[in-house]
Amino acid sequence: MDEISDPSDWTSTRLPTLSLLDSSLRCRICKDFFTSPFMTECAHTFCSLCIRKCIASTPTSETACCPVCRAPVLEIRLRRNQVVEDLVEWFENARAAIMNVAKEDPVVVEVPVVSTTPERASSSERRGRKRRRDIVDNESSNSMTPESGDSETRRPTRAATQNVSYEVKVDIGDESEEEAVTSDHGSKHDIPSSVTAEQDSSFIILADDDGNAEGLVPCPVCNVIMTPQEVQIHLDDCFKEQAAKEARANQPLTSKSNPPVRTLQSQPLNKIIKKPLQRLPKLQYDLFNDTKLRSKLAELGLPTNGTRTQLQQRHTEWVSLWNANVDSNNPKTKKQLLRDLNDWESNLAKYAVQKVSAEDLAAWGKTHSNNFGDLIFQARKNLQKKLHPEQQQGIYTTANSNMQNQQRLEIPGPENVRTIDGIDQQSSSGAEEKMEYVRDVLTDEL
Amino acid sequence: MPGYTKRLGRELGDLKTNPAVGISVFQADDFRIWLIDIQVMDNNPLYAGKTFRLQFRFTPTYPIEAPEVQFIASLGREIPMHPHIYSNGHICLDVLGSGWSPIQTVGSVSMSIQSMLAGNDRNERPPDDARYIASAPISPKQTRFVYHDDNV
Repeated sequence: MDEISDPSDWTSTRLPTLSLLDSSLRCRICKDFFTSPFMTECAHTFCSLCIRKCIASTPTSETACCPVCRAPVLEIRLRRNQVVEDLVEWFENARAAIMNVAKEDPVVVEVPVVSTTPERASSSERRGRKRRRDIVDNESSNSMTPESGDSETRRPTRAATQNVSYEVKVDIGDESEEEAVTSDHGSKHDIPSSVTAEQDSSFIILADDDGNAEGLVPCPVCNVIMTPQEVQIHLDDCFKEQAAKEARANQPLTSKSNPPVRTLQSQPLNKIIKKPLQRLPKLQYDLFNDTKLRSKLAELGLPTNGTRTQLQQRHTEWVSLWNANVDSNNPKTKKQLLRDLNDWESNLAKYAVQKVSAEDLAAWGKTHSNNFGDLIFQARKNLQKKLHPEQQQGIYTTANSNMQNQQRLEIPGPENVRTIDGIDQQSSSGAEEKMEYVRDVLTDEL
Repeated sequence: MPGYTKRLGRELGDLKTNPAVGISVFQADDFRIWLIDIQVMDNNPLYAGKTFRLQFRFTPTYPIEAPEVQFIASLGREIPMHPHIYSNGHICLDVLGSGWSPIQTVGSVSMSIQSMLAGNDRNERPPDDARYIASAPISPKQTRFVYHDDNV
């Protein structure tokens, strides 16, 4: 099982504010990173499955409300939140690397800013300068190299390097030489010490504005932090390892060796190729009798055993699972979904069995021992009556006609009659005395 | 691992690393029953110096459905006196029933109950206490409480 990540992981690092970013990229229902995030009309975002289950759990669709602000929510009005989905993906990819950097000993990484070139801007201007460099970079790359893919691939790389004062550029194949030329052109005057890796390893490490060449960098392949020099030595091995891994996975080398670089434009294309899945409608279960409901489940390929409630629950859960799966960028197969449904159901069943445990029963017995005492007392009283039926038979038949007398008959106070058998006997004899009295009264009246 | 245990695992970590004042985990060995000790932190004379124990019971439907929450009495832990808390530990509080929202957590529910105690100055049980506990179901979730009194 993978380790459970949590926003609080950041609190002990040098970047505690990242816990806010971390937590805002999580669904507030499952507390996990968003999976196929969907937005409500009140602008709150949840995982597709979470909000669908939440809506399905309410008795009617009119009563469904936003878990955060309780504004009414309609399932058909939910909209995909594509930006958040991309943010989550980027952040999840980079999280481990950022975490590693954030956990570094501050003494090693924080190098005092020393202006190394006379024409260097003051630190307050650096931001603007950097942006300008970006523009120059882009312009030059656009003008020098007609391939627009170049500038596209570079942007994400830049975004991926966070607060660390260096840039690592990964490029494989023939473009790398061209890349080196353009970036040199764009930022030559800005960068005093650019460490260039051997050309055959196709890596260029650029120092940033701060000239922080001795800062640590993550290996672009495995994200392990080390000095740039170490990276160069390490990379060959790392690449061999990676290549071997990918050969095993039967995937082309280029697709995986630059993991953070993924163009957003290419994503919808993949999706179009797949055949579109249809969402399932909800059912008004009142309109279906058991047989119809069973055949409906059979139509969907679901198990048809169980009680009516189970059938309904199963269908509701399936609709939520299915529709959330339709929303997913990497939908599961129906077989996997069925397995999920089965897991869910067996979990419920496990709970139902253990719901009334022995300790529950014991506690129940303890709290209601007084009631049981009373019941035992009543039973004993009845038994006494049965033991002396010949005395009471006559009275009951006559007393029944007279409510007042009957009430008086039942009066024998339970306060005299408790627990101990001896006293029980005593009081029952008391009751007999009273009965004698009643008989007298009755005969008098008659 | 089913979804609800993952979420509970996170909540437990959070309760242990950033505990709220007056709320501590007494027992959380599994994802079925947790025992949480709460103390009322202001100087409310009714509850000063006392610790109360809440029992949370989870089902696989958590957090879509509310957990089952009640006070339990044990050694040194009594059921707090409150006009909305029955002497068997059942609590009449809307967030545990119709007012539940899946974004709530064990911590937030504990805090709601803590503040419900802190705001109380009546040393009494609900008016129908005797009648209720005589026939109360084991689970407070099977009771349909009517939340009519917002004063306490």
